[in-house]
Amino acid sequence: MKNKLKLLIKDGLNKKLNTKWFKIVNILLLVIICLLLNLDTIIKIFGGDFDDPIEINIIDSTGEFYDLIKENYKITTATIKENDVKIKKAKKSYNDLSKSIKDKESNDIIVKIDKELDEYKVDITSFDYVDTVTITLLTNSINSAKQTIMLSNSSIDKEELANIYNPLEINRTYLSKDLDENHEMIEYISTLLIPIFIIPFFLLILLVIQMIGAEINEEKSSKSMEIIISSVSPKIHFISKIITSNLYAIIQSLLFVVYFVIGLFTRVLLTKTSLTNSFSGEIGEFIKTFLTSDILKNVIKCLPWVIIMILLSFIAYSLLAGILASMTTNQEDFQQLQTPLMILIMAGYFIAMLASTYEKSTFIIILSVIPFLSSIIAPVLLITGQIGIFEISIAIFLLVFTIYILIKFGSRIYKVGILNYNSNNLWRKILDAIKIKD
Amino acid sequence: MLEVKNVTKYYGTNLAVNNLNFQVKDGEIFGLLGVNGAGKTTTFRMITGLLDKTEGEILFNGKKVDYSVTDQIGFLTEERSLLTKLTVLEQAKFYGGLKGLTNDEIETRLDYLLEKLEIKDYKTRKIKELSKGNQQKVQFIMSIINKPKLLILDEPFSGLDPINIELFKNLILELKEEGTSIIFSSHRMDHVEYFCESLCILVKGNTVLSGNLKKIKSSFAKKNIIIEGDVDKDKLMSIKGVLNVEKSSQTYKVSIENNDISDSVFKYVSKCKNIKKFIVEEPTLNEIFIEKVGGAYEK
Repeated sequence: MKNKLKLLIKDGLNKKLNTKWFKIVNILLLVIICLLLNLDTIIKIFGGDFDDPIEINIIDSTGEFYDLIKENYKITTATIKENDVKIKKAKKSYNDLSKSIKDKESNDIIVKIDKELDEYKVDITSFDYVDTVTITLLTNSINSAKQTIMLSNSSIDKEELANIYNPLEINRTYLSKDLDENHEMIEYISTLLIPIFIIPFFLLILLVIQMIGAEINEEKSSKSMEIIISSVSPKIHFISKIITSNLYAIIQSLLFVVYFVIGLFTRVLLTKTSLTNSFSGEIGEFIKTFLTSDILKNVIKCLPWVIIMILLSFIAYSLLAGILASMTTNQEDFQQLQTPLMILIMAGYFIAMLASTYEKSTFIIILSVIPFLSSIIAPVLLITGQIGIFEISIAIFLLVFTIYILIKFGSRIYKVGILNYNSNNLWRKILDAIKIKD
Repeated sequence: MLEVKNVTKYYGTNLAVNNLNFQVKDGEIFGLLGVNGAGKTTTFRMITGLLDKTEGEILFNGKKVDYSVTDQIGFLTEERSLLTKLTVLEQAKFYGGLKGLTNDEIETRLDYLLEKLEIKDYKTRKIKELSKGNQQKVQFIMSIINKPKLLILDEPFSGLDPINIELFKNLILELKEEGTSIIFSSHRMDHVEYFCESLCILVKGNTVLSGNLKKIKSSFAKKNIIIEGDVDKDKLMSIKGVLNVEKSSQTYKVSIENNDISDSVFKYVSKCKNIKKFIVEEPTLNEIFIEKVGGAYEK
């Protein structure tokens, strides 16, 4: 029987992996993942003005603004945006600069500041639209410079003026000893990590459910099921379907990882720099913070539990899908019967997303240990520190118990279901099958 | 040898097979007949271990039929039971592997059977690309890929032309010669008569006729008389004990209640002119079947 189980698994995997569509889809996936990971480089390769820094030419007839604008702009962009803007004092006249920008169709900007009857007048000239971030920062810097000039022109002395501009030092105190100092960063990271974790999980679960349904229905509708079951027991056949579909999901997951690594490797080759440096702006900052903070340690610490939960969830979902598929007589019926499974996964997904809003909600923590819902919620809550080892252990225990029940009673339903070609009295047949002892 | 002893099967409260008994010896072809829904498929499923019996036992070579002996059983289902996306070779490797054969054994046997059924060019073709008749050939090959000791053939000639039926017949007889016990089910009574030494007819799960075919025929009261010559159909019909007279070209087929009536018929025929043939025949299996099963028989 062991050899027959091996044969069924080998044949099942072969049917899935050794098809031209599997190869085509995976080549497409590799290409798409590589493209997405190198999107910024690709955009630059196809051209544009991304490499050319914008020159802001300041014609300051007052002689008061230039230094202040430059300083203000530098302070603001140091924290929120990569500095691809150069602010410089104009060496040409307004007309010459305008002509030059017009001729070259460049992104450069002219800021012309004049003073007429004690009133400042500012003109900003550009060839095309200026991106929102740059224009906002520039106008803020000009306004801030104007306030500084106005204040310094008032009777306020220098010390007082310095006090006005000095930011307040705000100390934060946490009374609870359990609070994590990295909490805000964890929350920020979790908002990014949750979709990254959930979406592939969601897709792979769907893949497993549909694979089991399609295979069982194909064997049932072609009546080859009768030949197979006359050679191997329904239990072995059932187990083979579960193992095959889960192996397929694991193989596809590993391929995703390989494609991701290839994508990153391509990025290093294209940018000719280290991986962390290859990402600029916010993503780069995020990766650097993530890699150097304790958050990574926390994720690594949670990883074994998360992997156990994922594997058990795949088994539980595939068992349920196998049982449901055995009772259906065609693919259309199975598609209808798989709706409750979809709802369970979707519910887990939305509750996991809500978990960061309703932090440490007792209701969500209770849901996180309920089998099937726990598949997504428990790992997310664990990574974000909302539940601990105790709660995840309960979730795992309940999931293992559910798997035991599904194997014990599900195999009885499966045995009757796979030779059932009539959907009349379906629920009665299921109940009768449960009563039949092995 | 297969022994089916007092086998009963209920689906819930519905009786599918009632106290069924028969034996199939090594090298014997046994006919299991009945109209649709008579309980044949349920019986096949019980023999192959697909269904549990409610009562009774099924023994193959003295052993209870379970997954330790199913490798020696071949099953050709009435409906197509092939994974049509596979090639013939892939299908053979899958089904043969499930019967415990190695890939080498499968390929050797497959080559032989493809040659025998004159479709050796289709070895690497996808099954869905083959004609209905050739798919039936592939299905037959799959059922005998393991040289079964017990073979169940449910409507084996479905979709075949007369030439291919002959090819199948030769292979079935070859298996019989090799000692395979064969259970044969068909709605074509001429095929059953050709192959089967003994049979069993089921009606709604109950056995209405069972035993050796020759004995069944000889003990069957009704006979037929074949007459060729100038006779009067109405006068034949008026003889007491004559049930029916059918005329086809020059021949008359007279159905009589029992053998004794043949004397009365002979007395009348001897007075007629130009008589070339007078033969008292046993009834055909088709007549016996219709008599026993009644109007419920469907093709």
